[in-house]
Amino acid sequence: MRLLVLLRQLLDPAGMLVNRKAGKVFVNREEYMINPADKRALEAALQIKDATGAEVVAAAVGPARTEDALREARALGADRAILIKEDVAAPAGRFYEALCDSLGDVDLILTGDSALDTGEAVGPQLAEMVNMAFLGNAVQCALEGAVVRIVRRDVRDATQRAYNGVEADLPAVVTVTRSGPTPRYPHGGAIIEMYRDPEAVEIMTAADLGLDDSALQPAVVERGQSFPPEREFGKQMTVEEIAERMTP
Amino acid sequence: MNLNDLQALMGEAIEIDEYRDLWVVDLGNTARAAPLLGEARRMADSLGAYLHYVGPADSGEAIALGADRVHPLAAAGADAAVATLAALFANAKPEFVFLAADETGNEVAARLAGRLHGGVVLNCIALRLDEAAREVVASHPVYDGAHYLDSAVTAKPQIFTVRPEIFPMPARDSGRTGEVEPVAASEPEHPSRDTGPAAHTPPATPLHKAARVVAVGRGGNDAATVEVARLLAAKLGAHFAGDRSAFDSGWIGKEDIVGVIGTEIAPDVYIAAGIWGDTLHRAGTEGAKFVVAIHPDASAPIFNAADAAVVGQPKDVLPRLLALL
Repeated sequence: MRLLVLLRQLLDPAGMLVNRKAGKVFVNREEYMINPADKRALEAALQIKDATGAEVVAAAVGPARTEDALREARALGADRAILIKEDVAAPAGRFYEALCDSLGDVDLILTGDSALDTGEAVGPQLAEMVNMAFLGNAVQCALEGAVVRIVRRDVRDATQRAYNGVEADLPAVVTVTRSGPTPRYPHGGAIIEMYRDPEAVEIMTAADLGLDDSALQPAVVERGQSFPPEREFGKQMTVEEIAERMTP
Repeated sequence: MNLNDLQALMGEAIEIDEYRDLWVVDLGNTARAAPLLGEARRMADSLGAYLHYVGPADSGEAIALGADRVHPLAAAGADAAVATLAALFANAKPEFVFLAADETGNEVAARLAGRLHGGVVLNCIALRLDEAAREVVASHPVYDGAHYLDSAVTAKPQIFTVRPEIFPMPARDSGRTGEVEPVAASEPEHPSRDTGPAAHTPPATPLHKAARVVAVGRGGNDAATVEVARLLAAKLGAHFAGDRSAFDSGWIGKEDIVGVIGTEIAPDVYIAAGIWGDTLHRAGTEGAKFVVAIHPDASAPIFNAADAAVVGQPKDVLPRLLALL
């Protein structure tokens, strides 16, 4: 049984300041973190590992700094970590598709529902590329034999507080939301060990995965930034209007 | 004359882009998908393209709202929708596809992009058509709405999911004509199965991470009104808190004080009932996205930080709000 967890490293918003008036994002501290939803997906994978003894492989696409995210994943309990050292503008789905081919027998792919910094959703795109079942927006995820079961918010329920179980046969792709399982903390000694171990992260390139330039063309390009309007004096509303605003 | 003859005659290669037309996909929530027809109609007119509608709505209605061709498709789960649409789009080769952005819409859009090797931008809040480049530049929120990215799709088809209430409902034109083409439904290859309602208790969120907060202060509040506020919090699934004056009155614990002295919060919805809103309180709630302020005194500074302001006694306002929600 092999689980593949896809991680994305992004700028920590705690070090950013968005100035709506100037129309700029100021990066005061260039610190990086794992996409919060991806971290919960990793936790879901580690819980499956604890229950069944499956192998957890963490993978990420990005420049050299992304190694930190993968070392963190190793310290948390991932068995292998693979960095695909490429520009992040290239579509990550293509890399992961090729990685699945080169790894062989991947039973379950877990990742976050969307990236905090771009809003990109790799999971559903990858599911169709590698032709697997797809279960989205999980808050719980468990394996039973060759069936993966998730719990997710019931989309038909207007109160947004009912949950629904969904299952699919393996192999499958599951995306986990930010309400997923609470991530564990890595042991301090494990972090030191992973930084001492030069082999902790395996590094691959597009050429290793047999991808040529045509596969690396970005599918979505950024053309600029825009900003929400500045906050103005509160608008007087009636109670009915407020109730209407807040009822989904 | 076929294309090869024409090319031989003109002595140059003519490139015909096989991706064409705009499609609006409605996965069952017609109230959210119909406004997209109006916007897509405008784009179709300026591009000189046809507008197709796939969905469960009455075909005459979809044509009246702007569609040229209607492909009736009964509402079904995401798996079935992906299988049917992928088969349909593999032949039709749409240039642009628009869906309403909800859980199902985002899932179907992203899966279609994976299947068709297109590109997708999710949760758009604005669309701008570049006619010369034949591309749509879409604004979509990142970092939980801290700012927006303007993205364009360079792969084909270009798929977008659009947040509700961005575009107005288009005007009906019952004189329009259009065609109806049936769609062959396809079975999903790897279907997921619904196993019914499941129990899940979201982990208790600490006050500083709560998505909704109802806070009380001493302005016009008494113990009975505080109980109503507590009920309101329970009904909204919100965290119940207060300012320093509420703590002094014994209505909340010390860990539930909101403000710089206490806990700084940044919820999506913040209801401040009877809170005066001094500088330290406002600084501690700066990050709140939608602030409802209720206070009897119209000069309370909390109104300067409010999105919705109600000048009135909380004991009158809160029960009415509770009854309406």
